[in-house]
Amino acid sequence: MSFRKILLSLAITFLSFTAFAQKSAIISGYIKDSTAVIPGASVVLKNTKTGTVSNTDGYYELTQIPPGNYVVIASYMGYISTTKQIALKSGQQLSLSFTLKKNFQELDNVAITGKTKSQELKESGFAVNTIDLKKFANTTADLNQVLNRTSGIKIREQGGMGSDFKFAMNGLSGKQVKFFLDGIPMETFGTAMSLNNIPVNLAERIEIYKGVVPVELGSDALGGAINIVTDQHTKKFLDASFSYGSFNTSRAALSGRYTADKTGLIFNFSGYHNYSDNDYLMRNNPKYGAPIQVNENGETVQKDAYRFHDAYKTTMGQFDVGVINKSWADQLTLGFIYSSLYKEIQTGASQNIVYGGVNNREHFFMPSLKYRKKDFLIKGLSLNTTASYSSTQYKVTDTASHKYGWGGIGAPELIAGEIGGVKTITRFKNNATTIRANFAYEIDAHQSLNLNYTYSHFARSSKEDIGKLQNNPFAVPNTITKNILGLAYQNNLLNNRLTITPFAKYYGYSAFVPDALSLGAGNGWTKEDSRINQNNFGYGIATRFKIIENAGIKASYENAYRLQEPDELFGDGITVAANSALKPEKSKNINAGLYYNYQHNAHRIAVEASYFYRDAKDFILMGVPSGKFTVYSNVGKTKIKGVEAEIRYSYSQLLEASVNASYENARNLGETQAGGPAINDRIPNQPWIYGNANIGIGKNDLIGKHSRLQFNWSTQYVHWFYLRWESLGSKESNNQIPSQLIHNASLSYSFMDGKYNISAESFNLTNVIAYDNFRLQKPGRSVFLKLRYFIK
Amino acid sequence: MLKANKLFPLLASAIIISGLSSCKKSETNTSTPDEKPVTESTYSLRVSAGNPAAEYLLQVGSLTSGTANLLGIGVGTNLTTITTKNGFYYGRNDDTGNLVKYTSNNKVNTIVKEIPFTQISWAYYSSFYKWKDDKTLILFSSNASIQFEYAILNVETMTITSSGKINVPGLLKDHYFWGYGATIVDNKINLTYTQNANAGDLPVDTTYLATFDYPAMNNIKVTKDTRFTLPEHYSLNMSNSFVDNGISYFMASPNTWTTDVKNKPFGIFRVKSGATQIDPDYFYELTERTKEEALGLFYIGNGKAIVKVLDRSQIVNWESYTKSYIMDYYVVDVVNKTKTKLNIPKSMFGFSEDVLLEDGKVSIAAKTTDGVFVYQYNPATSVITKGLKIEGINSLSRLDKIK
Repeated sequence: MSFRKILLSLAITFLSFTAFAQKSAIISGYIKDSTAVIPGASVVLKNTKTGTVSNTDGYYELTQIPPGNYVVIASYMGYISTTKQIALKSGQQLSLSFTLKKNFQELDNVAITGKTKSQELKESGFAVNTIDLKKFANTTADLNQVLNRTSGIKIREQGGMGSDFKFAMNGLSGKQVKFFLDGIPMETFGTAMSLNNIPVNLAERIEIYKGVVPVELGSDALGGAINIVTDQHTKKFLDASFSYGSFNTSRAALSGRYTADKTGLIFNFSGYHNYSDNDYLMRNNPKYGAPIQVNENGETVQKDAYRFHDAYKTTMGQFDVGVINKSWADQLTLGFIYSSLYKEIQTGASQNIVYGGVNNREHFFMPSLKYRKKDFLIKGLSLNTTASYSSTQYKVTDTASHKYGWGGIGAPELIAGEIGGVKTITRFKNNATTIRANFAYEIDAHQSLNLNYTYSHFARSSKEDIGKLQNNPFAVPNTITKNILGLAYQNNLLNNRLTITPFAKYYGYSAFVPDALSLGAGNGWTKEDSRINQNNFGYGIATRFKIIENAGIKASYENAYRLQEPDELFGDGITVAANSALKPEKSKNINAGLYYNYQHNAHRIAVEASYFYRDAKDFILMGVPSGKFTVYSNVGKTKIKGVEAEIRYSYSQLLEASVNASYENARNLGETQAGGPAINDRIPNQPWIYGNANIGIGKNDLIGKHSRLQFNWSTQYVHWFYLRWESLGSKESNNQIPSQLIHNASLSYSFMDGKYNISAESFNLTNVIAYDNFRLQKPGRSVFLKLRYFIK
Repeated sequence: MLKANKLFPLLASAIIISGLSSCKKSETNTSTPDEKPVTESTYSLRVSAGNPAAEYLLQVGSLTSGTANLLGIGVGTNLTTITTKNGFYYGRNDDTGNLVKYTSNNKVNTIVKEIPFTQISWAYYSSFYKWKDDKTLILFSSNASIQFEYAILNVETMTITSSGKINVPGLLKDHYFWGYGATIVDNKINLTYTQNANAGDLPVDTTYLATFDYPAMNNIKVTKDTRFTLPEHYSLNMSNSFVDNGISYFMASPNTWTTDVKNKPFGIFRVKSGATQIDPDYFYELTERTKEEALGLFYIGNGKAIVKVLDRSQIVNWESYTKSYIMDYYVVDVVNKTKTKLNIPKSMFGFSEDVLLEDGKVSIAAKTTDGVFVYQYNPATSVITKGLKIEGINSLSRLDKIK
């Protein structure tokens, strides 16, 4: 009902806006070549200052054009510029598309790295989405909140800002999905730099690879990969923002670049500071088995309580310096990232386990070196290499002298810690080295090769300060070394209508767990160093076929591996215990999808739909928390089938709306014995139906010239799911994670061509009790105000 | 395109329909304390099933025949069971640490009373209990294994009537208490234990006996016996002592799972009524110590108990106790020092409360290569029969008579 009202009011607003926009004219259309759209192409009106760049769909739009005669020039590197003469009438909305011809003379010099990344991705057969973050720049969202609105993606957060989260994509989740920042794996970055606190302003776009991951990311992703890409082409810019809101939450972000054209010197910097008390209300919800139990006067009563030990503070600073466009390097940069974190821990694996003293402090430092060169040694060979070393130190303090509950401080406790059996101050140290070298070689205009090698080494050690704890599993560093080699061959056939990319990957894995406890026959417990060495080979293929210019089908397959992560193997020492018997996950992944773009005048419709299939063995799942600790274990065999679809509609720059939905059917195929428990049951404790709806309406020059007023509304739905196996036990006793219907809204006002921006935003507008996980309640309604300054 | 046309209405309707659904149920109900226990059947099985596993309370009407499984019945639960009595379960809400008195009926658990439990520490590896009488449950613990504590619970009113420290003297430097077994005879508590070194977790070659008064928990006397070590630990999981004719029987069980001590006896020792030391004239070594391990002491009356004996040569890792068919059941006469192997195939369930005595007859839940069966043993006739079959479970941790 309410949604209908919203639609109605939007329709009315929409009509009134179009009534306003009568005087100036609009030109819009697509820039294409003979095979695909061209993102990043420039479109200018000759002899004017009016111009723009086509977006990832190849679409461009020029607005606020006075009536008259113009020459429109469309151009792009490697293509012959094309001009068209037009006559614009008052209020006209002209559809004007360009098909650019390749300039083969110039193209020879461009090689494949000359294309924009988005274009390369579009032309590949991989199931890939790109999210343009620029349109979120005025929101207070972090990257998780943006990704969570994408089809096929569900992020389960345990609480407020900085809380632990689990990322799921097409039914595969957690560590099965890998994250990259400009191609560097983020798994060793520590928690201060994770998707739930990186502000949207820091990146330009997010690339989402579902199920099948190209070799150049060089990782053992089982379920897909997310690559966060920072702005690499704007020569000079400064973006500064600050937001403040509910739960004493503040976010400050700064990023910029300076490029000296003459010397080729480049200087990038970015940083952010986030703080939140996260003191939101925990609401008593016995209906879903999630009561808030407060001990008062020797009695246990159920009532709402505020969180009181959940403050979160993180600071990040990054800069890199280097040179670009030299004869010996297209780019050579040396970068440094430093981040720090302070996090109070309010609950254990369930909100009923209340802590009042445990906290975590973390420092992360990473120098990195990037080198990029096309025509490296021989013509047509491009080299792109990065090397990084990171050091993460974190200190977990578990020395509370009382027990805590939702009622606050409880009985004195002199011996035990809140998490551990005795009080501890544990200092963990993670060191990681990652080296990635990517060679791309263009054989001819239709064929290319890509070879990628990634080496990574991870070590974790810890020291305990108080000395009551007897057995420290990390006294000697536990290590994991991975060598991953990938080779891909791309062939464009049928006048580039068909693209085929077969690829192969080698995964070398070795882990060292010192002093692992084991039992020998008649010998009792022995402590012996444990070494694990594994070699695995994966392979796959990605294809794309264009049926017509604006529509095509894609299909991809990968036989993928996901190697054990440090946290899964060793535990995190906080809520996850070690399981050295863990095996790598293996999955056969299939994606099949179709896309269609349609434009009529200023109306644009884009449709994408895909089917996915995952046949995963030795699925690594976190057990249902029972008590203080949980472990990751291999669940025999799981088959996931699913569909997802998205429809986007936009009208000029006025209205933008999208709806997406995802359905996953993940079933347990059991272990070795047939007819075992829960065969064919849906994999418990994970969402399987969810969807998003977004609508944005905005108007330029409504309040003053060069201004824009923008209103966005988004709704997220997650269908309820069971905590435990569906077939086992009574339905009444199988706890549910209830359905969520969350609404968010924002209103932003930009003036002086986007230089100054002010926005207000509310998450969980209707203040529903929301859970992504059993007995871990998320925040209720929150409101934020954001100020942003941007120049380029 | 046909595919796409079909897909969208499907997805759209799926979202709309799911938005309307509102199944909302919960694991636990609450009721007033004076209600009669609501149970559907007579026996309660606490089992784990699935991978990742979850714990279930399943009730059945008979242990002597038939088949049971968890398909659609049984209560998935996050409440532990410490013990049961007269239809009620007494456990701990491991999340909140609260003590809980509850019933279960194959559909839901119903919490009769939940009370804060902050008087003493509690952990599966350092806590144990004894029933004084049907109304009085004595909860023992050892905070970080170095300070014994107690709390006396009136289970009718669910109030802790007294609690405090039990100041057992003599803790060696850099050692901790381990191997807790307790009995209560008249108003004397017998507590046996050993001491493990912090470094290496090895027990000393001594078993201690602390005797003290109930309910004051004072007048503590400690004596030593060096013939054997490590009384069986983890008695929250499995019975390790009993009282027959006023005499307390305990088990020395330096099993591989708990310790890495070698060539020490597995056997039964005893404390006579009113004595303050372990009977120096009695020890019954149960196994050839390098070849077999003995675990568990389940009293079945008339000076007899059921004991589990494991093939030590087959213990290759700690999963051997729960995943290898290496265990035999014996009936042991502690008065006459005889033992008889029961005709049950090799099974597992090393550390579980899987033996139940009822009207002089014994039920034993065993996981054999044929599956999980509840075997029926009649001590009077020595006849063993195969009873209830339990399908689709990983393990069973408790077998209780509820009604």
